[in-house]
Amino acid sequence: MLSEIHNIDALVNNFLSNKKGESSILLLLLAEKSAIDFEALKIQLNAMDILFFGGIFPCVYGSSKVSENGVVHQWVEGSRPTIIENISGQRFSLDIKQFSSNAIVFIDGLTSGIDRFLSKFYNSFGTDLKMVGGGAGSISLESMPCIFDNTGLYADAAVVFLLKDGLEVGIRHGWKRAAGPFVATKTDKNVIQELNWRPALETYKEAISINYQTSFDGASFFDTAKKFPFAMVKEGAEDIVRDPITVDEAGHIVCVGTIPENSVLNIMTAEKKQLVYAAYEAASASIMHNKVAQHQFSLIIDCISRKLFLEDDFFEELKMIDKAFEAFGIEEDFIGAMTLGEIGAVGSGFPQFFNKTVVVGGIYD
Amino acid sequence: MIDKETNIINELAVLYELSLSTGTSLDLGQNCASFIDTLVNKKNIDYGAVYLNASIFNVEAEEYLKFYSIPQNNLDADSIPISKVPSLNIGEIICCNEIDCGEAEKGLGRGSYAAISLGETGFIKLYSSETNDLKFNETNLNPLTGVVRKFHTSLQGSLAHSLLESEISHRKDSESKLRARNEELKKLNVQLDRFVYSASHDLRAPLASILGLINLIERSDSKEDRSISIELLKSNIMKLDGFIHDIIEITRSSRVEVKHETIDVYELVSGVFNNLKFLKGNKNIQECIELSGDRQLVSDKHRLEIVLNNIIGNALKYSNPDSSESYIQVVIDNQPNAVAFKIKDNGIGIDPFHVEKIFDMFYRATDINAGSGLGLYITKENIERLKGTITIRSEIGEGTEVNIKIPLS
Repeated sequence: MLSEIHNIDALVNNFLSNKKGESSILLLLLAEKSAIDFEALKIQLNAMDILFFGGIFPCVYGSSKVSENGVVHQWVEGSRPTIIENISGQRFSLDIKQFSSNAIVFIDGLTSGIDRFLSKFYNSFGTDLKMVGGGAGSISLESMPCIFDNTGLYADAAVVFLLKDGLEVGIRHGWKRAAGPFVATKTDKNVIQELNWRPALETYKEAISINYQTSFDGASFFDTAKKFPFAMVKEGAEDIVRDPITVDEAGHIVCVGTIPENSVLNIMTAEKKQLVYAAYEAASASIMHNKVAQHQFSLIIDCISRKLFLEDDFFEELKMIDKAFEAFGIEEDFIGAMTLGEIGAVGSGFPQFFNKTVVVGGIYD
Repeated sequence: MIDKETNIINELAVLYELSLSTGTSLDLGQNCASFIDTLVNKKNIDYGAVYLNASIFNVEAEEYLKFYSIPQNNLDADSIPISKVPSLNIGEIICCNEIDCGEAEKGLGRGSYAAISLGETGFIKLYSSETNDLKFNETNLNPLTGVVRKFHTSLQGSLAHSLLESEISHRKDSESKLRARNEELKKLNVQLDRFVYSASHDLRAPLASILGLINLIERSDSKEDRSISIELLKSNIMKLDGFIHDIIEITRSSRVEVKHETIDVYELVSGVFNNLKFLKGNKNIQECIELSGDRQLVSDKHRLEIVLNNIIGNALKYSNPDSSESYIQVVIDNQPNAVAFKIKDNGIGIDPFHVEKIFDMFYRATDINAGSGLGLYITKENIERLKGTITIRSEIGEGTEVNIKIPLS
């Protein structure tokens, strides 16, 4: 449920209006421009012994509306949320009791070491892991505390919540290969320095110019690059998209998410209708066909750069998600956040950090 | 056609990344992690592990040990008998629906399994769950043969490096021990030179004196003169005997093992005073023994006796002849972990200049009593063998305080 009020007492009353059980835990998706005083909210919820967790995102979705200043809440059943700090450091501790293999995870989307964090998670939880979540943070791409629970607000951190209930995850992006393959011959975490043994930016611009007669002149780098993301090859699954967001002082391409050195990349492109349909497919894949009656709610994690690319058509994407649920007779409202990178694991294989992707988590009794 | 081309490009891309993920490090663990993580991630596999021959780790068992896996929580079965794994050439593959190479591992259930041989070195185990679309077969795994051979070669490199590193480390360790031993021998050599020089000098001096006295006796007609010479002769022989006794003590201290026996510490100290009661100068000196703690302790009685004999003996020898209130106080603090002795006197004291050197071999701080210069050296040697410590505080004309602490086993 979306609330766009800032008065703490009224807000908490809204939260309590649909509380389920005594042991329910409050999932909060807070929009970046919300005027809610987090400290006051924390004090109030702590005073009422209400466990909560969540993140701050560029936009949130609830009650059939995208909001840049509201807060979306949902009561969930599961383990006590765990904050993991210092994700970018080499030695953070993943001290989580394995309550279940179904997890909701929010992470500081601008921290480095997200892939290492997910790999550690997979090592601990094993092959049955199902996961839905995304990168929190500001659309300005400036680092800020954006992950929270009852203990406070954190940067360079993740919050992990293990669900008592069932989870089914659908992941799609809809981008298609346009040019490539290219070898990322020199990278540093999320920065591509060389493509095919040549300066990355030069190679990237040249490929787009030759294939799409599109120039970077006269527009910001992102205005053009948002239409041509990179993707890493993965067998048996959609390629993993990496969003080029800016160019650093050295003229290297900065992406959201790690690109391992020697990765084979393709430059992608998409028509808007393909992306919109991908959202429909992701939502469909999150439906447990034999458990439709037990469907509680769905959590939509949609990349903020999809919204920027799709512009007004973004609402079509949300409508398609709705249609997918309707097709199976699911009428419950869904909630979501527009994120800086998406996290998903479908119950087999590595959990991944995606860009420009829709991850839908269906939660079932 | 396009799909076929795309698939070939995909396969080439994955093989390219896999081949560059081998041999990224000479470290065996990092090498395995780099290859298996890339393999599992790029081919969308649920589980990958490297099993290596136990003999690589000097384990005398006919089995393969799990060396690395992703995810790592599947650690229930960490070894597989070599006899259960078919002998194949490097890079050859077996695919199966059930696990035919060992016991099931925690978290791995029904699904598709494959083993890729690393020859006698071991094998790679792969698992794809029932929910994963990937089902292993020769067609989809055969392209890996070449890259697995490359991985095998890089493993041989890592193993050779690890062996070499261990040999170098062993050699460095031996060299370091040899160097330390050499230094020790050099030090001992210097000590031996000093010892031979001082011992020969100290042995020759009384012998020369004895020879002179014998000449005097031979030439003297006076009974009285002869009697004086014989007394001096006795004194020189006693001095020689004392010196030889000290040398025997030094040898004994370094060669005989430390004993652990129950000692009555109060009795030990009073016995030392009793043995020294006929020592020259031991008149009108107040003796005091204070004990806190148990009378019994476990240590080497003979060594403690030598230590106390020397320290209390020195306190008696160097008492102030002008003082009518001379005293020697021995305070014993016997605790379960250590015994401490404080031996305090109001004797003539020691010049601070000498205090640092007083434990050196043949060092004499005074000519008042011409001892061997070995007493305090023997004392320190014995305390060190007992793993104890000794400190001396002294002031000329005021007296001396010696503190000894011996740990108790």
